[in-house]
Amino acid sequence: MKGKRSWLPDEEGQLSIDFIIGFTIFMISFIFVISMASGLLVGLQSRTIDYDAVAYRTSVVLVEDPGEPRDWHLLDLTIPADRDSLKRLGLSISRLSPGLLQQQKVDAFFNWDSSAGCTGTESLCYPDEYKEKLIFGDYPYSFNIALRKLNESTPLVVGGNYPPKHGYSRRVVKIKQPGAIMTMNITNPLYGVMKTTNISMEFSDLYGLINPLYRFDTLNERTIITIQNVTSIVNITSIPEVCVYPPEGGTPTCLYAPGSSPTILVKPGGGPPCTAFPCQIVNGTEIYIEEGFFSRIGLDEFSTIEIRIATDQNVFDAFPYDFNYYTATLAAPEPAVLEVRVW
Amino acid sequence: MVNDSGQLYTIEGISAGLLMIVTAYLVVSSTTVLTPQDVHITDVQLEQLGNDALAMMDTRNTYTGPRSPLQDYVFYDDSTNKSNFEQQFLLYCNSTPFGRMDDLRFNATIHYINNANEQSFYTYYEPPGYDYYRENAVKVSRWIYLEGKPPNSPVEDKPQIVLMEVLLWRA
Repeated sequence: MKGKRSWLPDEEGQLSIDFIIGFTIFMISFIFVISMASGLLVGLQSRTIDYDAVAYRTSVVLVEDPGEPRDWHLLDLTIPADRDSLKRLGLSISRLSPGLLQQQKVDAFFNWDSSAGCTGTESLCYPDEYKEKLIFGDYPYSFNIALRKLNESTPLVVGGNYPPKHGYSRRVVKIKQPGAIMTMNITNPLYGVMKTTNISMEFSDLYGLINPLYRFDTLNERTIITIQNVTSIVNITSIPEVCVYPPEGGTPTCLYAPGSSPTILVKPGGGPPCTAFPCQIVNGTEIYIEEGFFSRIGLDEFSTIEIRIATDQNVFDAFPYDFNYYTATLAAPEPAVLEVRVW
Repeated sequence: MVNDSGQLYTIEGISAGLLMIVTAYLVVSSTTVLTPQDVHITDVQLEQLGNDALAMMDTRNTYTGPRSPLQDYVFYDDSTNKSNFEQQFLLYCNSTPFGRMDDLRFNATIHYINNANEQSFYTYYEPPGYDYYRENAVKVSRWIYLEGKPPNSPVEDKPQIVLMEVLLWRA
């Protein structure tokens, strides 16, 4: 003010009491809102905890759940309806067998394709199908899942490089090895009495074993019959024939194994399959029943069948050869370690 | 002479003080909420790993096999089997898919019912020269069926189920 001395006290620098009251009310309201907002942000603040929880949940689904459907590894993913029917990616052999995985599911799980046309292949689409059918949740989680058998050095991996901060879960598992193997010793044509024989399978006996880890799961796993003791030139004369007995007994209905997979293959020495017959066999020739073949022809856990093998020499001295828990064996389950990372 | 200039400063001071206290409270409460839960999750991961390892060791390789590897280790109870137990448990717990080995340590105790029908225990395995001394360890257990007396143990010679407790910690 003109003529007034500036160092004298006055009331110009002071705020009005109305302003102070208003400002205080505003600040209290502001603090209240901020305190409420921090509650809303708890989910984001605890992201590490959330990641750990999602990683654990993912490992549980993988290790303790067989997936939906439980034999999803037999689906033909090139068919859209089959791909759509796959709801959940679990690797366990059954719901009651935590930690025991099925080798075919492991193979199918780590068979992934990130290209745009992946839906037309046998591979799972990375990352969409893994997020939709394994990780779940609305938040767009990224993941890295790795599995290594302890007797191997190279891991199977699906997922990208992971950042230092991520959710983590590690599980120790055993993987059931598929493919019950029966060795069938044939004999020298000088001593054999038959050119044709049957391999008998009573599925109710095979599935009567309660523990699925040791069960010959012929409907869902491959089955191999190895021919040994071949001492002369012997040819299998035709595609193996499958004879299915009706439930009430009586005459079986027989059919030849189809030309397309899944089917029954004859693999001389365990090598490439015969494409034409007669086909010469050697030691170690496999009658290779592909996984899913018995389901394809409509068999179930109570079926009784015989597989007919015809040769051009009298090399068989038994009829039929029984396929059961005394004559066939299953490889021991293999230990492995599984890691799940989520971020 | 009395005027109102001092009152305004006081109200401002109280408001500012209130603001600082509330702000400090919010900051402190929002930064400390995670710590105990993080520790808890680490414990759960370790516990899961130990349970997995014992369960897989207690899985027989064949249906007709008489015992699981874990049953064998406890039943025969000699230095060879204890060494095999140590190696297999550490292999299962410390292995990772990418080859890096973790560094977990453990000791194992067997609990059983003695001749006087009382609960008793003996140490089955402890790491040589490396005893447990930290707090954040986890304990996992598994029931094991024995057909008879392990030769070097105080367990009675009869079919029975004993409890193996494994204390597991990160070294």
